[in-house]
This record gives sequence, structure tokens and C-alpha cells, in this order.
Amino acid sequence: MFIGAQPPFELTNEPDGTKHAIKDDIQITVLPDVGDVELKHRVGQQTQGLEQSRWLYGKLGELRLYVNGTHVIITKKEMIPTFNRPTIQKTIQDIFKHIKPAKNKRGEYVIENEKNVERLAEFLTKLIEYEKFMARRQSEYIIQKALES
Amino acid sequence: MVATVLIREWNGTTAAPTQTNKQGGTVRFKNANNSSVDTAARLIIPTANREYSFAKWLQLNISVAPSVDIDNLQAYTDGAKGWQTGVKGWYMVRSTFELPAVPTETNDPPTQYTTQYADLFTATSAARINMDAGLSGPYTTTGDIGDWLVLVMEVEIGSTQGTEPAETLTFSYDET
Repeated sequence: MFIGAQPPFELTNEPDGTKHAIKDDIQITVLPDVGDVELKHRVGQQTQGLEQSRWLYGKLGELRLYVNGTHVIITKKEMIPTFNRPTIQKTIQDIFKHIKPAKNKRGEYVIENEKNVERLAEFLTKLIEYEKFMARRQSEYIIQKALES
Repeated sequence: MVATVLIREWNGTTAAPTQTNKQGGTVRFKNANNSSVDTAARLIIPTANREYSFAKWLQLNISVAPSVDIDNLQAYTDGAKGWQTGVKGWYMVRSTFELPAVPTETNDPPTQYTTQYADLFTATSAARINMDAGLSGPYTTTGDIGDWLVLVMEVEIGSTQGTEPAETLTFSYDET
């Protein structure tokens, strides 16, 4: 299992040379007048980790296009996929926002409804796997930041 | 279809090699030709020359084929060796699998398979190892892809006993 793995874009070509990359509500279209164009995925995976990084990669003449989620990079550089700590951190922060734990009189955090318990279970599952991967990457810092947010 | 690409460690002999998936797993440097992650066959702090581990042979493998193809195979580290000063990592790239063995311990840097190893931690995201220079893609079907990355750990005289922290090795490729 990969944590943070991105589903791929659907890559299609039209007869006139137009290329599309589509995922969810994101569509990127490259018209044939650009010239030398490639659209593919650039993938990174590791030993000692569960994470896979998958970016849409576009070669548009001299320019390079990289898309991961809503993050779009346009550059002339050849780059490699980054293993995206902020994405995981944001996931943890988002889950805490949804769970909205409340403090009881003893100062303990209480989760109030069943759906939130399910969300917490999902969070803990991700956290356990994430911890394995990030054990030597100061994950305590990330969790602390999530709790503070 | 999204491809599934494994990082596999090769052991055994050239006539009867075995492959073990190390995607997300641990490659344990040791004094034995196997992929077990255990404390058997440990490296010994040397009193002369240096101690080298058995060579670790790693290669990518497509277990689920891509829609079109895979190419541009590369490998790199974070460039920051987390091991103590006297413990080093070395690499070379080979296009043919050869018997994993210990490099001659009078040579520094290690030389094996008629090739001198290079410092593993000079291979970074800005200076990646080309993993398909010999066996080049693009690759369209399941099976082994690209060259082997051959790794060796060195322990120098005076090193401190103990377990070294894990280092992460990253492989990247382009998939269509």
C-alpha cells in the first residue's frame, strides 16, 4: 500500500495532435501548435517507505509542466517527484477539523458521534502507516503542528 | 492501467537467482548473500583494511504493465549520509547480474566486477543515477526493467559498534 499515492491522469490524444490529461475536475489540454509535446506521469517510490509520489509530467518544447493535485509547476528544469510532507500534514489537519474533538471537564478530548469515531479510525490507520514511513523524519513535529492548528 | 513497479533485491547465483520485493522495505547490508532483514551475518568492525558487505543487487520490475510504457529510470538518495563517519555506502550500475560477493577489502574505494564503486550519497535528486543506460527502455510489458543498482556498505577500522539508522533509496520513472 502506498500512502499519498495519486491516481493517474487519463491521457488521450486526438487525431489532430491535441493532447488531454484528465483527472476528476482537472483537465489540461495541449494544442498541437505547441509542437514537441509529451504528457506522461513521473513516479517516485522508495525503499524504507510506503509512499509513492506521482506527478503529471508534460514536456512542452523547452518548458516542463508538473501537476500534483492542485499544485502546478511550469519550469525549464527536469525535476523528480517530491515526497510531499505538506500533503500528509494537511490530511491530518483536515481530519482533526472534521472530528472537532471537545474537551470534557477533566480536560480530556471527547469525540461525540459515531461518524467522527469512524473518521478517527481512518486517521489512526493513516497515522500508523505514516509513522512507519516517517519514523526518522521528525513526525512528532508534524503531529504536534496538526494538533496546534 | 496504472503500472505496478517493484524494487527487487537479487540474491543467489547467476544460474538460480532469487528476487525479493523491497518496495517500501529494508535492504539489509550483511555478510551473506541473502535478502533477510535480520541480525545474522553482521558486518564486523575490522582490525585491518576495511570491512565490506556482500554486494546488494537491486533492479526495478514491472508486475502490472502500464497503459503504454515506462522509461527514464533513475535512482538517488537524499545526499545526507546518516551513518557514522567510518561507515560508507558505495554504488555501481551493471547491465548483467553477477554473483553477489564481498569486494576485495584491500581496495579503497571498493572495486568489483571490473568496476570501481562510487560514493552512494553523491547520487542526489540533482545528480541522479541513470538506471537504463545499459538496458534501455521504453518498457511496455511485465518483467525486469533497466540496469541493476549494486550497493556495498563499508565499515572502517575504529567504527563504533551498533545499528546504523536506515537510509532511503528512491527510484523514479516516467509512465504513460
